[in-house]
Amino acid sequence: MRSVSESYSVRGECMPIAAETPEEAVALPHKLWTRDECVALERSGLLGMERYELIEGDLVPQMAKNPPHTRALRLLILWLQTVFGGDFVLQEASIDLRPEDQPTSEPEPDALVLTLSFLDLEPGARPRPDQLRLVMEVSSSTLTVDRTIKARLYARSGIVEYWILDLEGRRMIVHRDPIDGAYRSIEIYSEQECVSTLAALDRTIRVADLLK
Amino acid sequence: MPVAIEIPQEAVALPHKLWTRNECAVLERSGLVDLERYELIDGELIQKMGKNHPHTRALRLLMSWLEDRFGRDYCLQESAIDLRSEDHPTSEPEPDAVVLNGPFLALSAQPRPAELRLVVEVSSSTLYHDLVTKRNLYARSGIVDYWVLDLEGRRLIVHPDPSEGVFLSIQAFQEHEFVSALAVPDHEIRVGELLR
Repeated sequence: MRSVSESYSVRGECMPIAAETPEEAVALPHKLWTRDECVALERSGLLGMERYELIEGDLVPQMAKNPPHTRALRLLILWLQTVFGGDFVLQEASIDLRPEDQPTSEPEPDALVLTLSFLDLEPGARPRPDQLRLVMEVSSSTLTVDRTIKARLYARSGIVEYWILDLEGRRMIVHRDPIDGAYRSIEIYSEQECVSTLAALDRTIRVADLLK
Repeated sequence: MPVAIEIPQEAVALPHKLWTRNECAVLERSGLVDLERYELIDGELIQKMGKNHPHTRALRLLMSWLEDRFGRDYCLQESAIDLRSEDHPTSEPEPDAVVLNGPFLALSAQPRPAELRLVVEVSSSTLYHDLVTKRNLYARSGIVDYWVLDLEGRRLIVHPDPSEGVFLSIQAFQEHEFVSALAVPDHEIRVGELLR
């Protein structure tokens, strides 16, 4: 193998210097999608059987639900139905967002509580942010995304309350007071603590009862 | 009592759908994506940069020199290339310039890595991408000589001799220095000539 000095002759005063790899990672802009394009993508058959959630223009694969996730979500839905009534609770429904985020994101929270019966939503329409009392994600591998990107997304749309049930951490992370695109109050409730929603402060549940 | 917590600060990359050459063909046919505007790199549809005047000018100077040295029939501008089989489905780069080891008229398909004597990217806003993502991609496919003409840094970064998927001797030549392609070591050009 030839050495570099043989391969590259140099006549300048200085020798060439070994180039370093840039330290700062810059993500190049890649193709981002809109809700409209996703409808066409679905029709094209390219997405196959896999399910995606559109978040900030990216097609984010939805995690296969493992048994702990399914179990915790079922416990949660049952509790929410007891507190708010079955007609006010939806599971894995996609929601609308503020106009700026609406075209490029279509999140499907694991659970949500409406301000009205789902039967009173306009046919074909998704719940708007102001029709939501609570959105929830049951989280294991998606915790970081749920706590950063999704929290900002929900806060920007003024969703009044956002809970993350953290399965691995065995805790509930409660976000309230969305102001200027961020939740001003973020609190962690550990297993033995009791938590309640803003919309029904007197109905508490022990976090552990959702992690049975 | 519940504890108040901080929001995690680290930048989070969303895991998202990656694409293949085959899927891109369907995307293009269906009118969903104009592949003139995107380059498939590691499954990502990367937006091509609009070519600004310095880019166009440098690329033209480079092409002229390459055509003089290698012959017009051996040079292609912004042509898509093939890669080693592991990277082929998920990447379809279009280097700014390539030099072939035979006339382009003899090609029956996109040039394969073994048919390339030199691959060049002219780089300004894409420098990180060219020096990391594409460097790794080209090294893995055994591209024998890879140049990045760094317009802002006014230098030419040369990557000869990939060894087991890595360019081991990467060197930057400044404006006043002279450089030659591995394939024609006796024909030198001053880097500044490409940055006029």
